[in-house]
Amino acid sequence: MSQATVAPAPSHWGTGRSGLVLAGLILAFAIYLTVGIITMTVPDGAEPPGPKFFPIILAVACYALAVMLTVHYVRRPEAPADTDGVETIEEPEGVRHKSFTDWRTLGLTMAGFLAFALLLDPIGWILAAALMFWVIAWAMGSGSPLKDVAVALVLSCAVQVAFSAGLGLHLPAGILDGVL
Amino acid sequence: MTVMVAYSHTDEGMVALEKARDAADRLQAPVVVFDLESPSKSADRRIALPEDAQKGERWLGPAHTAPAPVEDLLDTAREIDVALIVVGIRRRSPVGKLILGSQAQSIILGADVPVLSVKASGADA
Amino acid sequence: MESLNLLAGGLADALTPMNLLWVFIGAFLGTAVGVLPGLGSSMAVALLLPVTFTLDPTAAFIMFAGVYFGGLFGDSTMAILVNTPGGSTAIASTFEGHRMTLTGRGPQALATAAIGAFVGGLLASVIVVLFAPKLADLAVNFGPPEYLALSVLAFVATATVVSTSLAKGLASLVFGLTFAVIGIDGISGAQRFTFGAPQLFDGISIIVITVGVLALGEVFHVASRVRRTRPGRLHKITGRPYLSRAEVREAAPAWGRGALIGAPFGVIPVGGAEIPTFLAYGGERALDRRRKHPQFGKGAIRGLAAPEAAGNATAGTAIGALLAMGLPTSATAAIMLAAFRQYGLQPGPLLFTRSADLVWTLIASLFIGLVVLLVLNLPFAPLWAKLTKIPRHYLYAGIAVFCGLGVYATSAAVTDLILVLGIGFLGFLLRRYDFPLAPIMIGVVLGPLAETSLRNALLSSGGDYGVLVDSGISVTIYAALVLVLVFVAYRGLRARAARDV
Repeated sequence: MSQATVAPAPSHWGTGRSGLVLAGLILAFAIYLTVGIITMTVPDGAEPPGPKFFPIILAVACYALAVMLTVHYVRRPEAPADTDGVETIEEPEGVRHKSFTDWRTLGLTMAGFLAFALLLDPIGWILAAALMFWVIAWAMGSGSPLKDVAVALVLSCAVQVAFSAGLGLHLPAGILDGVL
Repeated sequence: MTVMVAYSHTDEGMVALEKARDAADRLQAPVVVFDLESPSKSADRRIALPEDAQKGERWLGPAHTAPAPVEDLLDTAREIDVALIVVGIRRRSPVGKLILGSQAQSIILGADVPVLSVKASGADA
Repeated sequence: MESLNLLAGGLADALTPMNLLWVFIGAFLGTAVGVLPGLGSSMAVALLLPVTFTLDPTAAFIMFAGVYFGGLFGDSTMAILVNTPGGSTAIASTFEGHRMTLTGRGPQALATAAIGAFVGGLLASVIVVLFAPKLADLAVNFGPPEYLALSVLAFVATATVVSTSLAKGLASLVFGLTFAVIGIDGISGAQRFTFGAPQLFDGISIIVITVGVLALGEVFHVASRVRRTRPGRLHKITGRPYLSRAEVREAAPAWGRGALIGAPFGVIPVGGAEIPTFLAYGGERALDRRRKHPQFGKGAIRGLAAPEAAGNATAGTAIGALLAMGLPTSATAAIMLAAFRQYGLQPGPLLFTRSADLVWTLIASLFIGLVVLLVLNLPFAPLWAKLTKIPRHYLYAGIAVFCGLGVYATSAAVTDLILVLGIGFLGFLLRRYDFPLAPIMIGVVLGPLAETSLRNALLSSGGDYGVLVDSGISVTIYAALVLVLVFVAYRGLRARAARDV
């Protein structure tokens, strides 16, 4: 783990308050709803309570919750809840990380999925899915990239066969169009 | 033969811990501190040793998934075969206990080994 | 006994070779997903939902029934052997179950859990057969105000009871409700929150939301921690995988009590079976204290038997509530409700009259599924445990692939893939900050019902809000809501006041 730093976690105001990000997110939802309500064109003849009625309730709730969450995190900073009891967590001793979240692995995983989404139509299911599998496996710390290539291709081909042939789902063939 | 102390981060908890150390000294028994407020993530219920821990003490906490820490304490006491449980108690009205419950009371009633209860100084607090 | 005749008809329909195959596949997949760490039945159903659209509704729901119960069977396997519950409903099983493993009684623990799950599921299915039609008869009288009351109860109860904080539960709920209002309004035809993007006219597909929140969100959550944690150790287990007569005698009352505690919770919308499993566990412990030789703390077979039975009893009656009233009481049930809608079926009282065949085949397949699961789990549980040897990086990479497959297979739209990525990230944030996930699913699924009920009620009354509390049924439901809130407030107060050691 090369990115591990042994520095003790600095304790500043932000410690345990990163949950404010969700307060921000819900505020963003509130603004999105507000803009949507203002710009909404209501068809003539829509009887009250119209299409704006329910969203207005929601927007008010969003603003209120943004405030509640902010108060919650400002008053009581939280140590990260390691888990909801679903995984065992055994942190190796003596290693301290700057952040609770391993942003590098998470970023690579998300990038893998994004690449899959963008490449699916151009290069086809088999290659795009295999690529995503390989990237995520590698990001999560697989030690054998070459073996992963084989596993990834076998999985994506198996899915293509099972779902295209078996269940009749359409999956894009992409550049392998003629080959398949 | 072990002395277990039901510990929480309160005056009562501190007093209980001191008493438990005394008692353990006299009995020549090891001390197990069960910190009701520090959930443990490992299967053997160990938690990180705080600064004021003394040599030879084992510090445990309730499983982080346990719904009731006190019940977990009682189960653990049975599992590791303790001879004595020490709790610090606070004066409370019987009605208050009836309606809102009391950890100390649950331990005293639920344990099947002797329980030594001690009050913090100025016990009316 | 009209119900029994209908059930017999359902059994006859379900016992075709093809349908048996679907039950078996469902049970198999459900167990597999349940056994794998971190995956529960809600994720299994979320991932399977898109795939099943190519099947006919009967086959799809039969398979869901298998997955649904199978996930619960599998969850407890890991809870017992590794001390890692696959979902919150299996947490209570870790306490005594894992202690049994540590004392060398792992196989017996697995058998106790499997039989417990079977007993609980069986009792619940019998209750569904007897009472679901009656519940449906009652629900026929429900109008918009009653459905609104029911939805509000489901919203508030799921958001407050399971969550550690009120703000977090409600925030999760509001995320779900907001997703649900996007798209063209069904009543007036107005475009809402689409900002002119034609991809949003139909709203955000329920599949995108379930896969994003429940499956991709979990993948991201694992990614954020996988290099910094180690998986738990799997204990080797050897010995007889069945129970001696004495053990059965010991566990039997606990199975019964657990099942009885669990069954009512299927119709109470508190976000799943977590509460009844803990109640069953706590109840057994209280009883155990009064015995001459208390067993709790040493691997008490009753401490495992009761929560297992309770969990499956809740899951079973939850299906009844879903079928009879259209009320989902857990995230998994919410997804199944969404699945019904995709087939153009609306669970609720009318389903029993309009699609009686489907309903009774589904109920019959619950029984068949339980038997299949018992056969799959009782002798083979140690084999299932070997699944955990799949390295985590392959497991989660594979799940990501299936997330992509599921979303693309239903819409063939790249925009949906981008959307699911965003929602997956939201799912990660919610997990990271310990927000409950069930409210978001309930919000998405019941949001539209709540909105249309509210507006229709007000439309028909000419804007008079009194109509919302006009009937005895809705007043009763709101009274239940008040009870839930009082319970939550009392629990919070008690937790603070009892700290007196």
